[in-house]
Amino acid sequence: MRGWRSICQVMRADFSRRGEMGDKAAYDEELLGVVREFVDEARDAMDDVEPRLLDLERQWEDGGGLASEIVNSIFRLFHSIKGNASALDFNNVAHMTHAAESLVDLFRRGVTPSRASISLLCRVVDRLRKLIAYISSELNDTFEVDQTEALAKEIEVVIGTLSLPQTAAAPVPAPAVPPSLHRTSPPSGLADTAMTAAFVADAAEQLDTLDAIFVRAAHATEDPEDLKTVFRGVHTIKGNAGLLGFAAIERIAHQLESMLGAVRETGGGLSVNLVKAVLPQLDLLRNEVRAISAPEPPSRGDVSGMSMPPLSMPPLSMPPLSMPPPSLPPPSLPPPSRSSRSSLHPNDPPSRLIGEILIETGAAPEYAVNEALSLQQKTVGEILLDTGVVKADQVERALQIQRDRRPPTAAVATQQNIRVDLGKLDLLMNLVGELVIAETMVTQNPDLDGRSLENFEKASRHLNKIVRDMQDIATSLRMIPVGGSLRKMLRLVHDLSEKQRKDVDLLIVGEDTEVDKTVTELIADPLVHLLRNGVDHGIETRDERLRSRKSPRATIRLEAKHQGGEVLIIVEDDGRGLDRDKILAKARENGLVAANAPPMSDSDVFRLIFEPGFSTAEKVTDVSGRGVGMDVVQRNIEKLRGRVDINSVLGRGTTVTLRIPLTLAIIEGMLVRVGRRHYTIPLQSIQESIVPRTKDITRMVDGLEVVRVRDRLIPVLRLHRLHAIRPEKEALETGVLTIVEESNVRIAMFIDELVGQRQTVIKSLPSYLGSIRGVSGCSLLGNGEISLILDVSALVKLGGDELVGKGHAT
Amino acid sequence: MSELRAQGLSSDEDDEDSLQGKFLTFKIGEETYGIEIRHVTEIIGVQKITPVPDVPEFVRGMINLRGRVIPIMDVRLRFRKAPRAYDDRTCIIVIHIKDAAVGLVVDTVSEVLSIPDSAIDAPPRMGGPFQRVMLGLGKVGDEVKILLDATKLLFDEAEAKALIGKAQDASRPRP
Repeated sequence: MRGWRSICQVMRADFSRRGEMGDKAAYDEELLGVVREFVDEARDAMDDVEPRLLDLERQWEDGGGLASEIVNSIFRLFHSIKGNASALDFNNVAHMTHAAESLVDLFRRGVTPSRASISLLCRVVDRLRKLIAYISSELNDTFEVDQTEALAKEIEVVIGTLSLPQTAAAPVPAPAVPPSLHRTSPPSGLADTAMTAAFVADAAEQLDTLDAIFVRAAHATEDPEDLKTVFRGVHTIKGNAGLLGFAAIERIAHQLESMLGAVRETGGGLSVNLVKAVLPQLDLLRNEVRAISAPEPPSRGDVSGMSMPPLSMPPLSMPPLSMPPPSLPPPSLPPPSRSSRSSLHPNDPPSRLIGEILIETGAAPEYAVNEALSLQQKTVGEILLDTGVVKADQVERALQIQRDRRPPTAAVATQQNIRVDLGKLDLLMNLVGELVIAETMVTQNPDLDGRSLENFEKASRHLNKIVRDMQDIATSLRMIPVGGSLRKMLRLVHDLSEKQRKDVDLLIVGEDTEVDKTVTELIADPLVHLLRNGVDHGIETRDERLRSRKSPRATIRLEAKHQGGEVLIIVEDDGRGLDRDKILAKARENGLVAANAPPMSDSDVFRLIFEPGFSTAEKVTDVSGRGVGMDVVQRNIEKLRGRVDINSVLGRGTTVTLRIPLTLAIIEGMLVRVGRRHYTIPLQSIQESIVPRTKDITRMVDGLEVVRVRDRLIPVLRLHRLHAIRPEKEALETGVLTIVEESNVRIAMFIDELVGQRQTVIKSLPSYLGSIRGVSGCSLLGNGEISLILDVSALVKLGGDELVGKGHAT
Repeated sequence: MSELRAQGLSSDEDDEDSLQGKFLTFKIGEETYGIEIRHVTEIIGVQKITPVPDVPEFVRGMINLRGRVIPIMDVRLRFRKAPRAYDDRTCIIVIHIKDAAVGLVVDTVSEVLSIPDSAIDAPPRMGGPFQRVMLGLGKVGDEVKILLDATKLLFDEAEAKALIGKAQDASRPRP
């Protein structure tokens, strides 16, 4: 460990020297990479810890006993940040995490966490977030050291009070297994397969790098950087293995690290001898990593024993230069023959196996250890057979069942990930978008009109299919599970409900729902507003709830799901609901609704709370709750071309549904023509298209035309007047009326003709043009022309003047 | 003079030495204008322009330039000269400023000239409404080229606002 320190000191010296030069760009790229990785990992860990803490609190409150899994995972997350931070000499972070770790450790030993201690941990998370943000921008960890110190002190105090002997709740003796030592497989439920897969892929990569370096070193080309790189690689593996509970790997890596550290201490480099000593260890590591990725032999499960022989491969006692084949053992291998290597094998790499130690210390005779080892090499089935508990055919059947139940994707490690710069993805998306356009321009080229080209048709259909597939894949690249954004709300609701002294459970459903990355970013704000409003105003106080015979504990359900081409995000509370009459009264007061306005439907009334005028009104909270910031919700969702629906039952609760299109890049649209211009109307807004009869059209005094469609009177928008086009047809009866609806408002758009349905790639208007009324973007047509995409939600809001066509006189 | 140059430069970080002092000249009517070549990305012939509503008259619309949609400004109309039918000598100069690509319709493109700072005079003080968009007057031989500040040509707000107001008053149907 001393060696490790010294490396870090070198690294730190690097930092500070370059820091003095005041030039961040001068940082060793690699070093910078290490820090960035640290920041990323720490952020992820924080995001992970938070919900777990809240979980913990709830479990305890519900009297749900020891949630040891959760506690352990929290402990591990803090611990891994601490490890990485101290490796990089980020002492502030290390200090903070150390304190938190100590506190969590108490819980691990059975001390019941108090509410205060959990909110203290929440504050630790907040602080760590700040520290990490600081590190990521300033590359050092000197942010508000005294405040960190103070918080750490506070924790110490809490630890003091918690560890006081409590006769009533005598601490359950900690299961005296230090988290590492004996486990090779991750504890179930903690490390999910995705994390494991990522770890395996990462570790394999690291090992390959190390191999390459050692090979180079064996050829006597020494580079002082090499040792550092090796060190870092080994340490990363160790840290990650520790996080995921792969104890064997953690231990081997730790030994390696110490070995390398000792060399470093003496100022040596990667000598040939060192390489000889290290390579077998690397092989050991590699084997362990493979053991994780290969499906476990069916019966290994419960016999995780005392020594750690390589699990899936015989030891590779190889000369330092030959590398083990990089391919993974095929997943269908029969239970690999256990290593015949006993701990006493003379050519053993110098790892300290538990059996060896036991013999050495005289705790067990050699034969007993050997016997134990041979027992350990047997499968559970074999042992049970030997002892006569079960019969051979029973074991066989059990094995069959086990095979059947194993999911086909058991070999987690075959999944490989790379991190890609988001900018590149966007670039790819743009290119694919243009490819789609180019493809249409070729296959629907006007030069082809009127020719019959059988082979060309065939080829272009093929091309079309490939392009569509490519588009699908490219779109899916940007899709990520929405869970992260939703889980962030846990903390918000927790803090808010605490502040308001309300008991609120946030129930999250559909975390796996995948949405475009932009969507996850843009829904964050609306969600905050919705939940804040929900807790603030929607949920009643505990007393009120009791009075209305509700459970004192309120529930907010946050659900994400796919429906058609949309993602629905539903926020549903069981609070007091919206009071239609009060909203209406308030709206009249504010002049949002005319006193003599015709009766409005419930949803129209509820929609009023999204009006900016409404939300700025005084004491909206007295009306019904809901209101502040709701226009932000509306606007953000509109930015995503989505819609907000609201539903409420007085006394029962409120449901807000955000409907967001799956992808922001493509829409289904109807291409229409007005004069010589083309427009695209989003298909989802179109109700129907009609050719009106003369008797259905009424022209009002102010020039506004209204068409009667069945029982509804719908105002007509002459698009050619709004956008100053010379139309082909002037009389409504000769053209087409396309009826669109948005926010429950319908208008009939007068156009010359419908051209056809098209899937269009949306392009934004050149920013130079500024905003154009009723237009949200443009798209390219097959013949290279440009069509404007109509913004129906803006069109339905146009005033009467604009409908009539006096729009320009503003 | 150096002041003027500095202003022109500060609007765009692109300071490739080889493009220093070079101007692409074009004609509108009888006058020759010049625009700093570092802003110019390409010159194309006139192609089909899709008109857009709600913009000043000199913004003729948008074109599809190999999948990119760029707005088109008619420099002739920008300077409130009488419109002229586009012909096969009419060109669109595509310039790129402040992340915006804009096409400028000009009567015809002439040549690329090197005009040293010393040969550029400040625009006359009593200049008309378009003085603000001028970089200076370049003397080449016995001719004078009107050098334009591309950034101001595109983004001069005060003037643009006035023009937009005018354009909206005079909203008349365009084909």
